[in-house]
Amino acid sequence: MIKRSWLAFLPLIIFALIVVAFGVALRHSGTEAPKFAQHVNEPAPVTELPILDSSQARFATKDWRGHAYLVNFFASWCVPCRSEHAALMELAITSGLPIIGIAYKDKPETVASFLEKGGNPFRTVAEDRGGRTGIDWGITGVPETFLIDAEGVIRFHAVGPLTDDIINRELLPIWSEVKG
Amino acid sequence: MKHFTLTLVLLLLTLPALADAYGKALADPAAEARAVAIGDQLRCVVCQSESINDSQASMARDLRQLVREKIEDGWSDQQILDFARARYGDFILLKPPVQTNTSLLWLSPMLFAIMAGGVGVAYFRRTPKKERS
Repeated sequence: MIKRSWLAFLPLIIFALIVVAFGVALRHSGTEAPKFAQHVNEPAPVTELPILDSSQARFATKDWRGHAYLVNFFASWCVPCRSEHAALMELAITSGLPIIGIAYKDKPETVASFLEKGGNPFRTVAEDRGGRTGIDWGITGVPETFLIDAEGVIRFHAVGPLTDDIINRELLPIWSEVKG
Repeated sequence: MKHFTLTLVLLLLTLPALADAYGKALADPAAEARAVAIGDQLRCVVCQSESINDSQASMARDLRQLVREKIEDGWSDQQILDFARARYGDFILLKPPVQTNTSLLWLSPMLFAIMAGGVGVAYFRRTPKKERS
């Protein structure tokens, strides 16, 4: 009889254990919401794109072997890209880090006027009009930024706009490590 | 006249279908069916809780077109899913793959069934028939 009444509480006990297990899991790292893959420490995709305002020149990742550089996917129609722009300008001037802008699904005219108004922080502006290169890099939107080292390996990846905080605390330490 | 007006109104209502929101379907019905089946398995990278077939995001549309191009290039379903997975990780698959880090997810229903079965057996063993309610 005693045993049976204990059994009646078993579901409640199991439930309490589950609650405790979930509570513990939520409080510990490694249990954040699932995310799309971040490609840090993987080779950057092989990319070749036309350069804005140039009929012949192309941007190719293979030409950048031996150099560390930043790839920034942006678009003139993208509001967070506008908020990021000042930080990119400052980064380009103060750090010496070459920045390749990839204009994602944008028209050459609007890209040009966007860069005329806000300034052009980019060493080169390549055009990904169809958005296929963006998919190759696994971006989920714009802006997204990648730091590639001299061996062609992605060392840093930011989803969303770069802020001064992200630049100073995450990007610049890696840049000073890889600039060689 | 009434029929004519009704027909006209109904026809006008179908105009939004001309908006190329979904992207082009493949001419071959079997290939298109494959593309739809693959699209149902891929998570939209923008909205995250919809498949690329259900989503109106432009990136979902690009992925739908990409799936169709790969099918026309002769890729297998698995190759296309692997292509997406290489770029976006396991999270792009709406159905989590069975692997070590998802084993608890896949095995827990079985564990709960065994536990419930155990409780049931214990109950029937220990409770005389007339006391069961």
